[in-house]
Amino acid sequence: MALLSLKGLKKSFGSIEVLRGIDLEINPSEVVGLVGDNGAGKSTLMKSITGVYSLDEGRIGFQNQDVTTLPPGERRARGIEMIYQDLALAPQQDIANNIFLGREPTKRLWGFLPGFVDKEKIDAEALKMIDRLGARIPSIHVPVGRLSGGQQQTVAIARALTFDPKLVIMDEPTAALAVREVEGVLKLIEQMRDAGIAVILISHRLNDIFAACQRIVVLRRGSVIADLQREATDMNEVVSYIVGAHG
Amino acid sequence: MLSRLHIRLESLIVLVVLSAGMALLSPVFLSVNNLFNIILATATFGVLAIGATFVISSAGLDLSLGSVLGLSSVVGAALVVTLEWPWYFAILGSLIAGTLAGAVNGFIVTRGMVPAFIVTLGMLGIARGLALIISGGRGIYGLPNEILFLGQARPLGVPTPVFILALVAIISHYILAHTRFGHHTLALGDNEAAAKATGIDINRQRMLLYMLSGLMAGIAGLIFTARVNTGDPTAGLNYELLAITAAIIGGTNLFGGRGSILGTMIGALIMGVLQNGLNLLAVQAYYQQMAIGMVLIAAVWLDQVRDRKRS
Amino acid sequence: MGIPVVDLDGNLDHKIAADAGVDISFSIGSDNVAAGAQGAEYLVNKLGKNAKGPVLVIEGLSGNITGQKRARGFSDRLAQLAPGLKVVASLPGDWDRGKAANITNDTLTANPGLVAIFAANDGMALGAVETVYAAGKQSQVTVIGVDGNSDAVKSIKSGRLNASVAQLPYLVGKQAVEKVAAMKKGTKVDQDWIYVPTMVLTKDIIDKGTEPMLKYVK
Repeated sequence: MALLSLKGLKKSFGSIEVLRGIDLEINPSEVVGLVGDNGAGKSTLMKSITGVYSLDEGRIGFQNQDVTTLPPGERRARGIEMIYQDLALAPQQDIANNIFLGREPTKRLWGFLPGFVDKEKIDAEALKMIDRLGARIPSIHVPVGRLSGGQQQTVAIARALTFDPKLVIMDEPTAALAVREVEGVLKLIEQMRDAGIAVILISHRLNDIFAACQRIVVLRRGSVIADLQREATDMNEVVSYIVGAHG
Repeated sequence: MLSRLHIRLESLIVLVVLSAGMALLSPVFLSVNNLFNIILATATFGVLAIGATFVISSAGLDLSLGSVLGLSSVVGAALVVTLEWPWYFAILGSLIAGTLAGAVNGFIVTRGMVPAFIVTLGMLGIARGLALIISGGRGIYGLPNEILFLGQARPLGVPTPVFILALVAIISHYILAHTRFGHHTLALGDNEAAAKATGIDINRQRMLLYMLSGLMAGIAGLIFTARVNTGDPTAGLNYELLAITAAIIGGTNLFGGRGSILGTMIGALIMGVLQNGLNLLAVQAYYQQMAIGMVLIAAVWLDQVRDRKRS
Repeated sequence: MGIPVVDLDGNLDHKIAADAGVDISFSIGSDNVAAGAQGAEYLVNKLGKNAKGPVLVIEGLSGNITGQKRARGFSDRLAQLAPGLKVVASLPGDWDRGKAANITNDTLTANPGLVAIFAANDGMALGAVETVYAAGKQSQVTVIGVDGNSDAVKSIKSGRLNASVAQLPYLVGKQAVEKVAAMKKGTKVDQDWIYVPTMVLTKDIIDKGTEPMLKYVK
């Protein structure tokens, strides 16, 4: 049973067609590399899956349910998470608040005052997740904007993993990282796969794609032009698909 | 502890130092009566500053605060004095007029995609114009005693507006610092794209914020009317500047993402203490202008020094 | 083009206009200095020229000439008539009722024996008098405003505001038109500045209603 199924997705911005009919299926525990040149439509495709963009045509099924018209919050609730290239963190809010943004648990203060955000709970859970990811941070109350690039990345990942995701989309997660940090991310992807989470990895770094993914999907000019098993292909072939030099 | 209360140490220091200075210069400064008078004088623009804090925290701006105060003052008084409706319509009228004006602001900002600066600047003129039209350009004088109570009475020795300000401040602080709505407001001002991506309804959030700001202007208009026993179309002229100044001095980030009601209250009190001291000492008009300008710069400069040290 | 230029309310500086080549036939308006002085005269009448005590003056917007003239007119005349009544504070109310209210509170704190408040316009005077009442000091403090506008009249009638030096804008306009008509007929206007009198409104005068100038108070 496919976890995520995309059928005939089309999206235009004004007169510019960016997605020209995407068909794709992703299964649980699959790590899929999504590659393509600039302007191929990767970012638009991902934002359509998370609900930030709405589609002109097509159907998105997730766990056998039609989520095509659901807003981003609902899709997150069902287990679709994305880690954005720019991380989409709120720099002046602290680590814990960023991780729980949009999903803050509440309680009744002193038993009757409604809607009180349970900061203690947020702080405790956030700390647990950050520890699990093996990151070293001074305090859970540090504003995210003061962290290093790698640390911020960890917070973004923590945010995606805290609510039991089924599908995690990672957009250029290793682009700004040091070598050791890259290894950390690749290892993390392995762990996610082992936990049953499907991963879509968008990256320009083909080394990382080949290291982490069993399946490589090439996007070109708004369509899927290749869907390859990693074992059955090599970098040259993938590159030739990307630049449109293949058959 | 201070950061848990969302208060910035710098503002508190300025307030304490300023108060100590005033206490040294004027023997009557520290009397209970005078301290209550300071809060009383702060109440009107203090409530406005609370509205400003919410909106600015979300990276928005409401320049219409003072004009909506005037409009609310006039509407409340007109209902009760000119139309002779029961006294509580002054309260209802002011609050609803303010909230409606805020709703119009919110609507145009979210649907019309016009920048908040422009929209609220326009409302500044529209609300003031409406106030002048409704009142015929003159004050509407002579409100019922129940309304005067809200502005002129001193239950338990404490001026009523002080109670109103305290109540509004406590509830607002709870909302901004401890509810999802507050968290989302700050996130919206910090990184709108992030807020959107995490599923927050940006338009709804903005709409509610501008309505809240308008409601604050309505409450401030009511306090003003009650204090001076008049629905005054010229009420609140330039008060939005006072409100925004109080918020900035109190540590609200003008570009959004950081704000605290308690901090704003300290900012407002700094301005109130300063003005009170200048009055007690009968300082001449021109020197007052200089003093106010200097304290504002000093307070914000301290803020910048702290920020730069941190990063 | 031979169109006479008349300055209503005295906002134009004659010298500057002349330098710019504009000949102002005349300026006509209330004499703000005299208005302030009338306020002082009313106060001394009420309290007696041997009265002693602190007095508060609430000015208009800083730098505004109308407010300055009224405040100075009041202070100067007061010093002449009743040296025992001292102006302890002359503070800017910015034409704002709320600000006047705060100034009143603070001045009462610094000078609990305050005997009078003169405000450069009615709005501020009303802010002051409401505060005086809220503080329970109405029997002690006399409050005087300037303008004679409708809410001031209401307040005077109800016994709160003590007096207001009313401008007579209707009369200003009427006299201006009369003078221009006379100019057209050839009569020369020899004055640069024509001052239209102001009158002090009190509860007595309003209640009696017999004062002939009352009909020019709009």
